[in-house]
Order: sequence, then structure tokens, then C-alpha cells
Amino acid sequence: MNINIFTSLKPLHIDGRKDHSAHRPILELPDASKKLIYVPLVGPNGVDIDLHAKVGDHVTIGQVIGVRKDMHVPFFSSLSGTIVRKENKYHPVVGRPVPHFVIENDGKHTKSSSIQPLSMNATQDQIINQMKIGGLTGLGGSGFPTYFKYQSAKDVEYVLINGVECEPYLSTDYVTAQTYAEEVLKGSELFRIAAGADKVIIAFKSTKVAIKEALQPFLTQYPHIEVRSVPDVYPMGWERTLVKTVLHREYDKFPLEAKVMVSNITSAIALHDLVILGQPVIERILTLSGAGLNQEVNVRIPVGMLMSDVVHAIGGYAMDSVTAFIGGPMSAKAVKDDQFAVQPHFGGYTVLAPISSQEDTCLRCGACTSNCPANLQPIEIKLALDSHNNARLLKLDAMKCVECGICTYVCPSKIEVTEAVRQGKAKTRIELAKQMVKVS
Amino acid sequence: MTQFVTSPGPYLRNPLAQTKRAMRDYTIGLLGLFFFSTGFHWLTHGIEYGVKAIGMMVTSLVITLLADMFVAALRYQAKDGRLLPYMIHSVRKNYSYVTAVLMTLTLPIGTPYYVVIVGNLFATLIVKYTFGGFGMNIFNPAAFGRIFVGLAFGGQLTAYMGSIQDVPTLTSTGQTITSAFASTYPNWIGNTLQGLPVDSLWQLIFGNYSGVLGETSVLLIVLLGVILTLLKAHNWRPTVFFLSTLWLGAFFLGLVHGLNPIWYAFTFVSLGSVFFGGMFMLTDPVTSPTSNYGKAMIGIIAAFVVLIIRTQTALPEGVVYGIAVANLASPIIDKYTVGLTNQFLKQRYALLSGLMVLSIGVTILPTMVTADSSSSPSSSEVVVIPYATYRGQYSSYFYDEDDTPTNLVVDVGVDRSFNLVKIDIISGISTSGYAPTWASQGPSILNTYLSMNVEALLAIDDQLIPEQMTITGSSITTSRLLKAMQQAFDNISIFKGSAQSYACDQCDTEDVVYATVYVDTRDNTLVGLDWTGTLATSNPYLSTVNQALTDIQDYYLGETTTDVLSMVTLPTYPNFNVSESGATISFVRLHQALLNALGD
Repeated sequence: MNINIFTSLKPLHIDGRKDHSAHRPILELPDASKKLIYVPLVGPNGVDIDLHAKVGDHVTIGQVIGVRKDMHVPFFSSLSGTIVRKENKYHPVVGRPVPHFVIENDGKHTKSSSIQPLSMNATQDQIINQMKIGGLTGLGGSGFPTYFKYQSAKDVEYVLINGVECEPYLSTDYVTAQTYAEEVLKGSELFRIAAGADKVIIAFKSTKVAIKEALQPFLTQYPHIEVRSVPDVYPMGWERTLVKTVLHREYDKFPLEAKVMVSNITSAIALHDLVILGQPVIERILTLSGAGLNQEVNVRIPVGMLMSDVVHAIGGYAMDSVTAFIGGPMSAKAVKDDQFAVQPHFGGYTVLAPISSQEDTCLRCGACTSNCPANLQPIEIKLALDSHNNARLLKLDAMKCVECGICTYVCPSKIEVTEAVRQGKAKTRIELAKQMVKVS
Repeated sequence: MTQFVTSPGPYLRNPLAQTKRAMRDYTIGLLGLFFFSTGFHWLTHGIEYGVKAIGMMVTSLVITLLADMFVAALRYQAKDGRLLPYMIHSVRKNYSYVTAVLMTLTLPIGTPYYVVIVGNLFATLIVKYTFGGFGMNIFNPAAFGRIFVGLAFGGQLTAYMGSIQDVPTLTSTGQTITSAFASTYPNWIGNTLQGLPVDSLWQLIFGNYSGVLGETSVLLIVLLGVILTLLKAHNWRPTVFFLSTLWLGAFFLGLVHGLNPIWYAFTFVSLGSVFFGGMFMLTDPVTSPTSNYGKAMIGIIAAFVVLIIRTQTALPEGVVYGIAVANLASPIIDKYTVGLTNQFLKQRYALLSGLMVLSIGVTILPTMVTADSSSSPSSSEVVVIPYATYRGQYSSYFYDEDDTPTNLVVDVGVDRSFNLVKIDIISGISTSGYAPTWASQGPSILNTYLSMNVEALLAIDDQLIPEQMTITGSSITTSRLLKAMQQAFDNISIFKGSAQSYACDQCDTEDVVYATVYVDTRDNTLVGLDWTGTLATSNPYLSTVNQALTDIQDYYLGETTTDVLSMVTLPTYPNFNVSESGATISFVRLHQALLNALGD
């Protein structure tokens, strides 16, 4: 965020509440809890996948179930067992119920090895190909195919490994990075080779010293890797803020414009497993946190496990009425229920008491405008929306909003500002589309 | 089965950011100011002043509460549930108590209760509720309420209760401090604090003088302002840009006019409601733009208006008008602030500094060519500071068909010898029809009076006013003027006496000196003392005596007649050594004449 006399002089700090879940060791589940997994038969954008299996087949861990049609992303089975049926389940990313294969665990843990492991000496092209056949996606929450991002990368100077995890309640990156420190470093090095860059910077929050301490013993072996601490403010984990803070560079649409590639720290570990062990992403360490749960903990689960089964396995809900979301409370959207399968890029499931606050009149204090990391004027967007002033709405550039949630967080009148900006974005899209139709 | 409640995100709120918390902190800060002011008035002027201050605050709060309830009752509809909870919620939501506290702090202690009531009603009902209540008003309710009260009831806003002679620490005419400064120095360009109830800049800053309830202590205001900014109860930008533009404007103004620029700049900003208005009224978020850039801009705009009003116009104080103009400018500023907060930075910085330079320039340039004559013929051209001022009034009908009499109020300034040195006509000199006549012929009449002393003034028979002091065809006016001026000295008695002695051993005639003593009959103190005749024979003794005269007068003035009569021998004057002067005989004679005058 650009700090000048017209923005807030002090960046926003939000209490991370990581200690709710991070102080406990990673919970391992017994087989009895991991009975079923659900594999979606549709890609995240709703496009069907090419099926490589059918109901009744016996499958092993790491076996390809299907491949996305638009970008080559294979889906793997994370259990060994039988595909017992096809069932419709709500898919949170697609936004509607889609068919899933239901695979029942036979408890034998048989693995298949369709992917050949490489070594630390792998070439750039080899690594990118490994990403492709391994179906690696952005595990920081984007879910975007990593090979696609890296295959069009050229002229990269830095690779930034994002270990910041600024979203409150989530601690999966924090815990995973401490446990798998060597894998973090090896994976980061592999990202560097894949990008063709000179240096890697692993960024972590200044208050999360444990990450640095875990990485420190091995750092001398990796001369191209540097570990850098960044201030504990929100939203430091946002790509744009991180690139600006660490490298003092700005860009318009993609970090590549600033000669930077950004990847998540858990993705680095996944890349290591893929390249060195030939193992695709078949499990995830998920943070379950929030007062609405009986136990707050990081738990290792197979990809595709139903969220209701996960919650049941860790002790269930603590309240009758909850608001739950995938991710953290700032940028996530509440789910209607917990009947959905966990995707590889889901980092956490946070359950809180439903928020209730009465909206007061806006007192035009400007806190939303001072604190917006994208330098927008949220209250002006809301006012333009309410008064149906489309020309002004377009001038206010609502599309730059990343829905980080700060504007609502700081509002003293408890107004749903972020929601208003979301609606402003929708309106902007409509207006721009109308304009294109007129022109064409 | 667990119920899932969905709502749009985010699902965290900053627990420290709450409107009611900000309003509460803000009000506590204001009450801190109020307690300081009440305490000061109580301690220096007595319990009735303290009670009045608290009474004003309580009145404001009660009236705004009633106004809130009234509006809530008007707005209530059956679908809103029961009336009482609706009313309570509406009163809470509108934060009118803030307006009440703020309004009280803009008024001086002598404001009558009915003015407090009307002002609060205006501020709450008209400035706030006709626009829609909290969050929707265009003007700051307290600032605009203050403008209204100032225009409608200007004369009632006095810094004293009862009669001005009761409170000697006030300005000699009982005006508020800015009116006093402005009347002494019409362009606000002055290098001393004469005529004001403060002795030094530090007293102005510390605030231990009588004035408007909230404005006096600059130090306290700054302290509270810093605390409120740290608590995030308000934004610092309007205040900082307002104060710095004013300070710079005053600095350069002083520089150009040969005053000590730093002293002048600090005095300029410490006089009046600059700090109070800038800290508590300009920062009102509802009437400011939403962007920080806009908030900085209104500070400069308000400062621009204040600079112009103070230095170029007849109004003594312009802060509330500056705030009103800044309030007006807010929506326009918002409208033209588009894009992102990190865009157009160069243009925005340029606009802000350009506006600052413009304000300073427009303030200074005209004052360099302006003449310093005031337009109303109420005093002499030379700026004179009287030793004491007496206020006289005379009420009569101009025409037979008038149903109310007009009250002529005039302040007569005298020196220690009770010569008239200044005449200020406060109000009621003439009807609008005769105003041009008075404007053209008044000054010479006043000048004639200014050549007299009080004894001569009181000796004029109002039926036989000499021709130089009348206007043909306007005899009612001049007769009223004389009567009012004479009335000012109703409590003064005149005593005359003389003494004579030989100036030297070889002198064959005695020198005679006459003393005219003016005594206030209410407490028998000497208020004026004039010696005529032969004060001393020749130089160097004559000049010695003349130089010491003021010190000697100061010694006697203020003493009771009984005390003076008890001084049978020549007293030792603290500021003047008689034995070293070589003119002891003269001083003894002066003292004796005084005793003889009082001895009757």
C-alpha cells in the first residue's frame, strides 16, 4: 500500500489468533475417520473433466481419476479403495452442486507411481513438466495451475515465497513450514530453477520467528535463498503488498511485470514432494479454528474428505448456530453447510459465532479510505452505488478491490462496506459490458 | 443439527472502532475543557459564575434531549414497534449531547439562559434535523448555531454577568477578547496586548482569563486534541492544516508590518476560537470530506476565510464563518476527488500548497495598502488606550409614535486626570434616517468633547448645549449623547481643594496648586485625580514633577478617602523617590491640596 500523507500513516494490525491452533502438534487421523473421499468430476471453473476411471473401479493412492479439459490438471485419488458411487455434492469454488466420485477407503494404503521422481538437478523444463503432470495448483488459496504460471515466465529476477499467512485464525503455513523446513528450502530452490531466477526470498511475519529458526540451520546450503521478515500487518500476505514491501516494486496486473514470481510456502513443499518423491498433492494440513468448534487444531487429512467428516473427527461444533467459512474471517465467504469436499488449496475452515451488528449512519470518518491497501475510496463507491451514479462509479475504479475486508473491519458505524464494494464491482462489470456492446 | 448462518463477509470487526466510543471520548475531552473553565470562573469571580456555567451546560443538554425526543415522536410510525424503545434508540443514535456540550462551550459566561435555549434549539432542530439527523447535516450544528446566536443576540454575549465594574479583570469594555483586540487594532495588526485582560502571551496560552467558556486555554485544547488523535476519535489533518496556514499567514503578516513575527503569529492563533474551532468543530467527520486529502484541504480553506475576515473586514472573529465555508466546500471536494488515494499525488500536493500560498498572499497584500481609518465616527483617529472606561446609557423615544424607547449606550474613556480621551458609541445613537447626518457631523462633536475633562462635561446643562456640540435639526441626538455620557459618571462625586506654599526661601509669593478629586461614592475610592495651577515653579523641577505624575496618581487612585486622609505626612511613593528629586516642596504641596480637597 502506498503510504503518503493522504493515507493512514499507521498500517493496520489485526490480532492473528494463530495461537488457538498453532501450539498443538499436527493431528493425525485414524483410518476409521477417513472412510470416504469425494473427487469432483468438474473443474473449478465448471468445465467437465476427462474421466480415467468409472464407478466400481479399484483405485490406489496417486492414481489419476480424471484430467481437466481446459488446462492440463489431473485429479488424483488420495485413498486406496473402490469407487463406490457417483453423488452430487455442492462444490464451493464452482458454486453449485456437481457430480463427485465417492471412494471408500480399503485401509491398505496402496500407492501407485505414475509420476517419475527427478532430482535437485532437474532442468527448468523438467520441473515445469512435473508441475503439469503432478497437477500442482496454488496451495495458498488460488488453486490456479502452477505450471501454467511458470511456463510463461521469462526474465524473472526474484522468486518470492509467501510464508506470511496474514489471515487471522489460519496457521497451516506456519505449522507446515516449521515441520518440513528442509522441504521448504528444497522446494523454493526448485521454484527458482523453474522460474529461471537468480534469487529466492522467503518472506515471513516478524512475529513468527519460529519459521526462521526452523529454516536457519539449513540456509547455508542454499546460497540463492534469503529469509526476510516483514511487518505483522494486514494484508501483508497479499501479493501486491508483499512485492512492494520486500522488493519495493509495483506492477499493474501480474507480478511478472516487476520481474517477480510469487508462490506459497506450502506450494514449495508440494513441489519438493512432486519432484523429489514423485508424489502429487494427496493430503492437506488444514487449520480448523474458531470458537464455534470444540477443538482448534491443525489436522492432516486426505484431499477430498468431506468437511463435515473432518469436523466430526476433531470433536464437532461447539454452538448451535455458527457462521463458517473456508479460509479466514477477513476475505472468505460464509458457507451454507459443511457438505463439501476439501480441495487441495483449502487452507483452513474457521467457525465463529454469527456476527450481529446494527448498522449506524455513516459518519464519513474516512477510515475505510485511509486504510484501503488498494488505495480505493470504499465509502465513495458505496455512495455512488446507492445514488445510482454509474459514471462516478466507473471513475472510482472498483475493480481494483481484492475484497480483503479491511474497510468493514475499521468502520466505526459497522457498515457492510466490503459488500457494497462487491456490488459496485458487479455493477461496474455490467456497465463496462454495456459499453462494449455499444461500441461493437 | 448445527445451523449455518450466512452473511456477507468479512466476519471480524475492529473492537476499538465504534462511533459511540469516538463520540464519547470526544465529549469527555470537551467536558475537560468545561471543567477547567467553570473552575476558573468560580475561583476568580465567585460562586455565581460557577453556577451559571454549570447551569448553561445543563440547560443545553436538557434542551437538546427534548428536541431529540420531539423529533423522534414526529418520526415515529406504528411499524417501528413501541414508542419508548424507538425514542431511546433514536436519541442514542443521533448523539445530540455532543452538540449540546459543544454549543455551551462556544458561549461566554454572561449569555442569558434564553439565548442558550434558542441557540441549542436552532442548532439541533434546524441545522441537524432538517437535513436528516446525525450523519446527514451539511453544517456543523454547533458552529452554525453559534453564528445564529452571534447575529441575533450579539450584544448579550458578554464575558461578564451583571455590571462590568464588578469584574475588573475583564477588558475595559467587557467585550470578548477578539472584539477588544479588533477594536484596538482594526486590521488585527497590533504589537501589544493592551486593553486585553491578559498580560502576556503565556497567559493567553494557559487560559487563565475570562472569555468564552471553551476557548481560553490553548494548552489544554492542544493536549486534549493530541489525546483524541491518538485514540483515533478524530482526524488530525483539518486541525493541523488549519493551524499551520493561520500561523504562517500571521507570521508573514507580522513580518511585512514590522512586528515580531513569531510573537505575533502565536498571539494571532491564540486569540479567540482558533484552537477550539480548529480542534473540535472543524474535525467533525460528518461535515468533512471523506478522503484525507479533502480533510487537509478544508483546513486550508477555513484558514483562508479566517485570515480574510480578521484582517480585512469589520468583524472581529471569523472562525465560525471559516468553518461554515469549509463545511460548504466539503461536498464539492468529495465530488472532484476521484480515482485512488495514491493517484494524482503531484496535483494534490500542488493544489494544497498553492491554496496555502494564496491564502497568505491574499491576506497580506491588501493590508499593505489599506488606510487605518475606521468607518464609524465613534472615536478619534489616534489609537488611545484609556486608563478607565465608564459606560453610560440614556433611553428615550426618537419619535412620539415609537412604542419602544431606544437605548443609547456610550463608553467614555478617561485618563487618570479624568480628561476625556476616548468616546465609543456602542449603540442607539440615531435612527437610520439620521445616520448620514451623524456620520458627517458626529466626529467633530466628539472631538469637542474630547478636549474636556469630566468636571466640565458634567457642568454642561443639557438645555443649553453649546453650539459646537449640537447638530441643527438633530438636537434629540446630541442631547441624548450628552445625557448618556453624563450618566456614565452618576456615581462620581467631585471634590476640590487647594494648597499653597513658598517654593524657596527667597520667594516672596506662594505657589498655589488646585486639586480636583473624583471619588466613586459607592465605595468612596478615588478614581480620578487632577492637579492644576503651579505644580512646580520651573525646570528642572517642573519636568521632574510631570514625569512622576502618573506614578503618584497611581499611588492614590484606588485608595479610599479615609485612607488618604490618614496620610498626614507625605507618603513614600514606591516608584519614585521624592527626596532625591529635589522637588520635595512641590510634592508636599500636591499632597496637601489633595488632603484639603477631601477634607470638606
